[in-house]
Amino acid sequence: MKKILLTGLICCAQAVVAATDAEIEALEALHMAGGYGEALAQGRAALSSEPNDGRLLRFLGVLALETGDLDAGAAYFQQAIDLSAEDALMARLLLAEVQLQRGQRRQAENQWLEIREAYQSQAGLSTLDLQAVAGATRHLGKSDPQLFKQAVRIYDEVLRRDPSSLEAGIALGDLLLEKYNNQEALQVFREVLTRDDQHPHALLGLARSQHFDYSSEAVSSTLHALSINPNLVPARVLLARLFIELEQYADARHEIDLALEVNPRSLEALATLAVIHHLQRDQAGFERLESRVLELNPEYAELYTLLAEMAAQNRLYREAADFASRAVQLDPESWQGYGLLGMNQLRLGRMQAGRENLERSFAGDPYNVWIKNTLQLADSFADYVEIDRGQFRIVLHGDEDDLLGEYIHELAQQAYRYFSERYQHHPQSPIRLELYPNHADFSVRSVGLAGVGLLGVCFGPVVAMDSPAARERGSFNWGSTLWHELAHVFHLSMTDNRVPRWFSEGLAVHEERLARPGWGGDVDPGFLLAFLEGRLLPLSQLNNGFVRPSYPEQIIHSYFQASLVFEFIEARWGFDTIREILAAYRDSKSPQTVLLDRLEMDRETLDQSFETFLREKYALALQALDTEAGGGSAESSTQPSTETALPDRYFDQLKLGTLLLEQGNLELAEMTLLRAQQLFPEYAGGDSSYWLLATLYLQQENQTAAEQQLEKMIAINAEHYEAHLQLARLRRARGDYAGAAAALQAAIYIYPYDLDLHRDLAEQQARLDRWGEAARARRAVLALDPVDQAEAHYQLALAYQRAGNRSSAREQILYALEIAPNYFQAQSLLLSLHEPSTAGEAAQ
Amino acid sequence: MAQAGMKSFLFACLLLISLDTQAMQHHLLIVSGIGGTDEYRQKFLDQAARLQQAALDAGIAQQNITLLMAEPGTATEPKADKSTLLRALDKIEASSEDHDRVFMVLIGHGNSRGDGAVFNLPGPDISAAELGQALARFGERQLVVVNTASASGPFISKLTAPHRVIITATASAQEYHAPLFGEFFVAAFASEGADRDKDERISLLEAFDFARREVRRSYESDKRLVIEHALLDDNGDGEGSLEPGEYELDGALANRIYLQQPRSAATGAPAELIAMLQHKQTLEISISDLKRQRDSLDRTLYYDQLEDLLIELARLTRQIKASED
Repeated sequence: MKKILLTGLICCAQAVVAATDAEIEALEALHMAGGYGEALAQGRAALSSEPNDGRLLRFLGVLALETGDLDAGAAYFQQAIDLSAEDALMARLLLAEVQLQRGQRRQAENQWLEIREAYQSQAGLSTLDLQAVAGATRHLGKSDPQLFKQAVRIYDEVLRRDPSSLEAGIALGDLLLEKYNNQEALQVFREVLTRDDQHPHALLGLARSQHFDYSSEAVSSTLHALSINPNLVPARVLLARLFIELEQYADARHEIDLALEVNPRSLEALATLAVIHHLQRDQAGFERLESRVLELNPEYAELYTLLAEMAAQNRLYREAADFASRAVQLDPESWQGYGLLGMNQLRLGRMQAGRENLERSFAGDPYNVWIKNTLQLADSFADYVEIDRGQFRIVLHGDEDDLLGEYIHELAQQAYRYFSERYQHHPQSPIRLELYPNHADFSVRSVGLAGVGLLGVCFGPVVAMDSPAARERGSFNWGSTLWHELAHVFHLSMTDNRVPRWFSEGLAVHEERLARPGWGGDVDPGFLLAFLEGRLLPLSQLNNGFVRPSYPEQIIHSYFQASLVFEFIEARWGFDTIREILAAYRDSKSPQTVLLDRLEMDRETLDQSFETFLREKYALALQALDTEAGGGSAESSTQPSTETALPDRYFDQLKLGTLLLEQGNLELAEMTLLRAQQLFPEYAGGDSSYWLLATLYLQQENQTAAEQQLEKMIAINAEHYEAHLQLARLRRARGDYAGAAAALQAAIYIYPYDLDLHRDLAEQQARLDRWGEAARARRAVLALDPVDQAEAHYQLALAYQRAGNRSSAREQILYALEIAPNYFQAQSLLLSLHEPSTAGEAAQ
Repeated sequence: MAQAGMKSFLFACLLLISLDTQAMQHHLLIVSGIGGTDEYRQKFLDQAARLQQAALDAGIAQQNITLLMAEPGTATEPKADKSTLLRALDKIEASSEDHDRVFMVLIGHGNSRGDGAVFNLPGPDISAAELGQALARFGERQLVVVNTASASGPFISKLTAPHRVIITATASAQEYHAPLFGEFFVAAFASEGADRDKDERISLLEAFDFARREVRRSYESDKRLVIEHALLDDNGDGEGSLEPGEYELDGALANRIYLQQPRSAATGAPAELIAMLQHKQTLEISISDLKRQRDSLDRTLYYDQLEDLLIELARLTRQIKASED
């Protein structure tokens, strides 16, 4: 339930009332600063001398409403209406607000209809009347979404007639935000703040708008609003919700306590408190709050939509769907409820039911861009195929299933076996793996909007991720991403989705790193510079780095930092401890202390121990960068020269080496790059010493040294496609076909769409007599729709024949000869299948 | 589709009877147009040179190959313009017989103006209509025109006629960016991958198909929308096909035309070998007929029958090879 703006409605009243403008302004100033008690006392005193003053009545009604005295509020508003004051329409709107809060929507609707009736029948309505009409129209829009547009038009009319009306501007901003038009809402709030930068409601609107955009500035705007009006209940509630997102429940609870001190029957504060109890697994406390809210307002479906929303934010998708279901039972017009139900059903893999509920939601609220996007995505599901194999249901676009299906299943199955043994756990199956060749589609599937910078997302039994087609070659390793997301499947399943985000993300990256050399990445200079500059978060606050990063790279740094936490824990306490911590997250009511309890450390000691671990692990690189940090960043360091000796600064050595390499001074370049490598051996990015030295050695035709550099490089960073291909070439040239095949297989996890890669791999596997693997590579060639189809079928037939799969060989050779009946080698293979004595010929 | 298939069948029968008894000659005119930039000038000259070499490798007589360069590599070489091009066509018309085959490949830029699509040359460009007029004198002689330029699509409607294969790099005049098609079309004649039916010759249809697929792959690999769509017309209706095929509306004629100079029938070959070759052709026709019925037959039955024919063909081919050896 969105509250119609209650403040500042006094100033426009007409001169016929007795209270002076100065008196009203003084009261309003008190109100804006949160001095509700004093404002109430002074207002009542003023009313005793002017009992028929409409402005005073409304002012006192608003104060009563904001402090939870609904009876008094209703009485004041009714009195104002009965007096037929010129601004009685606004009093009627406020009376409807009281009725709405009491769960009397039908009565409230009558008020809104009366206001609309007055709008249609009376000429010359004041701007305050029009604001009341806009508010009523907005409420009625729940049953007729077209009315929202009309409400916007009426607010625009008010602002055209009275551009200084801050209240109309804030109400318009709220409405735009409610209808997901945040861009305009933000603009409106900012415009209001240019007129009054201390307006607490405008600041609150701005904070909500920023929160809508996932901006960390939402916190400071909320705090700003509260610094002006510490009793602004909606701001306290917003702050509490921001704390909940960080899983800081004690802080959230504190804010709610403050809010309830002001308004003990604030539905939004009580509902938020119910959320805290739910997330802290305090069932008794939750039920008490639930009863209290429904006692105050038996129609308050927003309790359940809020619970659903916050549960989903905390990855509790099953609970989210259950709460959303209760919301729509309570209010069959809860379009938000249907939307949340549908979205969470999709996250749980209940595709048909999810889609139906989204359609219901969209029919009632066609402005919801998340639902619209998701429904459009759902329309494209017809282009996808579902492959049920083992523990998995793999969902791939029809253009990709032939190529990727096999590779994905093989890796997923490997991961499942590995994780089920390591975690001693078997999650619910089938696990649904969805891969989207279009990043925008994946993004919509993840959060309902395009443009999210994630690679994959795990909802529990459902994983959605980019397929390799969705990303630029070399920017994405789909194999490690899949491994990462499947690690989440286990973490979420083991903890009933109650693992903190930082924990699951860090552990998943740690698992990547254990799975294959070079997966999960290694440290980069930016991370260590952030460490040196004190920008990394202490372990105890790591969740903030994921939920509300304070600088652009912080989320990447937090992933890496979190992964190191598990390297630290596993090395010092063993993996059993990690498993125990996961189990404790599932059972504990105080997740904040789980880690510390299991590690038997206090927060400061843990933070300190981890910092020491980091310092020791990267001692050499930190030393090389520390000098750097003193002299500035990589970009600003001294321009290197080939003629001067350089101190042991990593970046300078690297730059100089690059320069020398470009100039063809290979001898000096080698020396310099080797020094850079000694200084920071952990860094193996595309611009690192490894790749440069490999290039240098190839120029010198020193294949052995080049190969060594490439091997070291991909052992740290397996995302460099060209490095894999180059390594395969070098290994093949010296007859190491198994090594070449391994490099090519690793390259497939980066970019599987290269025909030559699969052909090359098939040839290496054939040389190694691995005909099963050769056949798989040949199937990949065919899936890539080569121009020479006959040859592709022939090669696959040959691999099948050698692998002893005669029926498949026959099938493929017939396909080849169907295209090219005179294809001599294929004819020989066909004959060999029928005349075993000619088998030798076919191999020629 | 059924009509196209029937034409193919009749042609195959004629082949069986005639067995290349007529000494058909291939004539090739390559025009390398204006590049505009060094990069394109070099690219066009390179494509022209590679095509010329492919023609020589395919057995086309040197004197039957004409290469015109709008921007030659050296200053001493003459720049080809519209009049040079028209004179070259006159010369080929005069030196060729009615049963000869004439190929014309335009490599360069094109665009569209008020008077229609044109191919850019030094001085006045040549329009599709002017070229159509110039080719009229070739009568019913078999002609192949390939225009790899931008905005080349409208050439089809101006040049179309029975016995002609017209290929354009773009589907319309609106596709005015320099297409990739030409590069791949020329590459097809030197690529094993283009020989789809493995008969060791590249038909025009195979070259077109190779280029079309490689163009698509190139755009997809660069994550760009495909902005060029090549067309092939060989049934004389003036409507090019994006995906021609042996059994499609367009493609049957292009499937039978190769750059390779046809060989004359071997004289003095043993009767047994000739009989085997004739039997081979009969088998090929049977396979082709069966393939036409593919969609109407039970899958298992179809492949069983196909397998029988293919085994027979394979054994016969082995005998022929042994006999030739």
